[in-house]
Amino acid sequence: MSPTAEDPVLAVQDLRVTLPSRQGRLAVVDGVSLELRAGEILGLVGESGCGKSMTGAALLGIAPGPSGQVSSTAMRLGDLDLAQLDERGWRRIRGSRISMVFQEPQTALDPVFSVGNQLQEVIRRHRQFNRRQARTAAADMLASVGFADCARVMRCYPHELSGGIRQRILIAMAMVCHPQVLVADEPTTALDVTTQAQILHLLRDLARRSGTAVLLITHDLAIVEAICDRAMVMYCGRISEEGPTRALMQYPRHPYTAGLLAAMPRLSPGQVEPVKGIPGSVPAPGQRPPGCSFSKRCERADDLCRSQVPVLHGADPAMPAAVHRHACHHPLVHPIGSVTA
Amino acid sequence: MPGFEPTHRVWQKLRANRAGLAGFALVSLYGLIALSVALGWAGQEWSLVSGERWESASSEHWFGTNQLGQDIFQRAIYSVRIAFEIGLLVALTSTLLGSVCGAISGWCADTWADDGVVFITGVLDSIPFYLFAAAVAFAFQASAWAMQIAMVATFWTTTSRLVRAEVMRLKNRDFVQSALAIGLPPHLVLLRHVLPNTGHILLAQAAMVFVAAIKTEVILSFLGLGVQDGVSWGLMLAESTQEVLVSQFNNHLAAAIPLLLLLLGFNLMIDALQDALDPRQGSA
Ligand SMILES: Nc1ncnc2c1ncn2[C@@H]1O[C@H](COP(=O)(O)OP(=O)(O)O)[C@@H](O)[C@H]1O
Ligand code: SF4
Ligand SMILES: [Mg+2]
Repeated sequence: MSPTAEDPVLAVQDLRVTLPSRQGRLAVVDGVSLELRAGEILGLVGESGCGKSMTGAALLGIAPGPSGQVSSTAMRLGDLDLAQLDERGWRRIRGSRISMVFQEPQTALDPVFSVGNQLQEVIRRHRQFNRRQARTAAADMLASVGFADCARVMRCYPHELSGGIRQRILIAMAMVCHPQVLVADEPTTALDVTTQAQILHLLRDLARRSGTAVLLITHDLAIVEAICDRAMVMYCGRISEEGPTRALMQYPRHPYTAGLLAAMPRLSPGQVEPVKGIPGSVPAPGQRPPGCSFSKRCERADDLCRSQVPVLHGADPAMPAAVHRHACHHPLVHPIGSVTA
Repeated sequence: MPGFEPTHRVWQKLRANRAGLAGFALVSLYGLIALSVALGWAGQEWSLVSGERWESASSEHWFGTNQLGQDIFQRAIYSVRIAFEIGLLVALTSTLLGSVCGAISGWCADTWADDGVVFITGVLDSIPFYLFAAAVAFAFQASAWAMQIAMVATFWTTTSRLVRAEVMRLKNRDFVQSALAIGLPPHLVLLRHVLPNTGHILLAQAAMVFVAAIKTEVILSFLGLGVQDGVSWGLMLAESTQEVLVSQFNNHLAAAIPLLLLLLGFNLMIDALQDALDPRQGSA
C-alpha cells in the first residue's frame, strides 16, 4: 500500500503520561489519541493545567522529569514505529523529524550563543554538513521565515532581539531540518497582539508550503479559530471534544467546549453580555473526581456523570463519527438542520 | 571562550569602571613580575647571601638585606611568583572540581549523585579551615603539595554549591528544554548550554579562590605549614617577627605592602568582573 494524502503523518493511540505521587502513579495525560496529516494545523486547547504541554512533549518522547513515564499502545511517524524507539533513536528524531517551539521566546534561546551558532547546531546535529553548508542552510531558513538581512541576524545575540523576532528564530530552528511534525506550545502567548498575528500567519504559511503538520497548543480559542483546521479540546488529561474547527466552534457538543466559547471575548457587534467564565478551576491531577472529570463544574452533571467516565465518540447521526466527536453523557443539542458536516 | 556575553559589551562595562580598571592594571603588573621571575629574568638571587646583616636600602640592595644578609627586594619579587603559582593552581583545580561536581549535582538534583556531593561539601564545610589545613599539611608533610591539597579540598565546595544552585535554576529554562528537543543528549546539553551560562560565576569565583589561596599561603607559611623550600611573603613575615624586635622593619614592609596591594587590586577587579559578566544584566 502506498501512502496517500489521507494517511496521517503522525498517529498516536492511547497516549499516557504518568507521574509518581503518594497515591500511586497519576496520569496527567490519560489516553489521548490523535492523528495529524501533512500540512494540517491541529489545535489543542484547554485551560492551563489540562496536560497540553505534557502531551506535546510526549510526542517528542520527552517525559516530565526523570520519574515521569510516557506510554502508548501505538505511535507511528510516517513509516517509523515510534513506540519501538529507544532514547538514542528518539534523539535522532527530535529536531529533525519532530520538533518543538516553546512558549517563552525570552528564555528559549541560549543567552550566550549567537543566533547563527544555535541554528547551525541543530543542522550539524542532524545533517552531515560542513560549516559552510550549515551556514547556507541556516541563512536560507532565516530567509524563509521572513528575515531580509540573514547574515546580520545570525551574528546577533538573543538579548539584542525582540520577542517576536526571537520567536521567528525559534521557528526557524524548529523547521530547519524540514520536520514532518511541529509541536508549537503556546508560541504566541508571550507576544503582543500584532506580533501574535504575524507569527500565526508564518506558522500557517510554513505548514502549507512545507507540508509540515502542526500541533498548535493554546489556551485561546481565538487562535484556534484563526488558523487551525481541526481542534481538540482537552480537559484533565483527556480529550473532551474534537472536530473541524468550524463545526466545533459553531456547534459545540461538550459543555466544557461551550464554557470555553462563552468565556471567549468576542469583538462581534452583537455582543452586549459580559464574558462569563467557567465556574471553579481545573482540579490538580490527584484531585480529579471519578466519572467525568468535568462533573464538579458542569451544570448538566448527574449521577451517571459522577460514576462513569464518558468515552469519546460521535453519536450524532448527522455527523460522521470520525469527524466531530465528544466525550459527554449529556451533550448539548443544536436545532435539527443547523448542523452541517 | 565562546561561552561569554558578546565580548564588546563586557569590555564596555569594564571600561566604565575606573576602580575595576585600576585593580586590573595592578594585578597585571603583578602578573608580569611573576612571569619574569618564572622566566628567570628577575628575582633569581633570592637565596644568595649578597651582603651584610640588615643593610639599609641602597642602590645595590633596594630594600636592604635581612638577618642573613639576603637581598630583601629579590625575595619580595620571587614571592610574587610563588604566590601566583599557588593561586593559579588552586584556583584552576578547585574551579574545575567545583564546576564538575556542582553541575552534576545540580543536574541530577534529588538523586544519589546529588546527595553524595551535598554530603561531602557539607562535611568539608563544617571543619574549621585552619585546623583542617594544619591537619592536611601535617598528614602530607613529606609532600610539597600538602598546602595546595588542603586549599583545593576546602575551596571547591563554595564553587560547587554556587554552580549547583545556578544549574538547578537554569535547567528549567526553556533553552535547556529546547536543547533537549533538538536531540542533544543530556550530557551535551549540560556541557554546551548549561555550564557556559555559569561562566560569570566560575570566573568571579576562580578570582576569589585565587586571592583566598594567596592569603592562605601567607598565613600557612607564616605558621610553618606552607612553603617548604623557597620563599614567600609568609616566610618573610615569619622572619621579620625577630627583626621588628630590634627595629628592623624592611623585611616586614617588603612582604606586607606588596601583599596588601595585590589583595586590593584583586578585590577591585573581582567586583568589576562580577558586574560586567553577569548575563542577566545585559538581557531584556
Ligand atoms: N513536574 C511536575 N510534577 C508533578 N506534576 C506536574 C509537573 N509538571 C506539571 N504537573 C501537573 O501536570 C498537569 C499538566 O501540566 P501541563 O501539561 O503543563 O498543562 P498545560 O500545558 O495544559 O497548562 C498540571 O496539572 C500540573 O499541575
Ligand atoms: S459527562 Fe456529564 S458532567 Fe461531564 S461534561 Fe457531560 S454532562 Fe457534564
Ligand atoms: Mg502549558
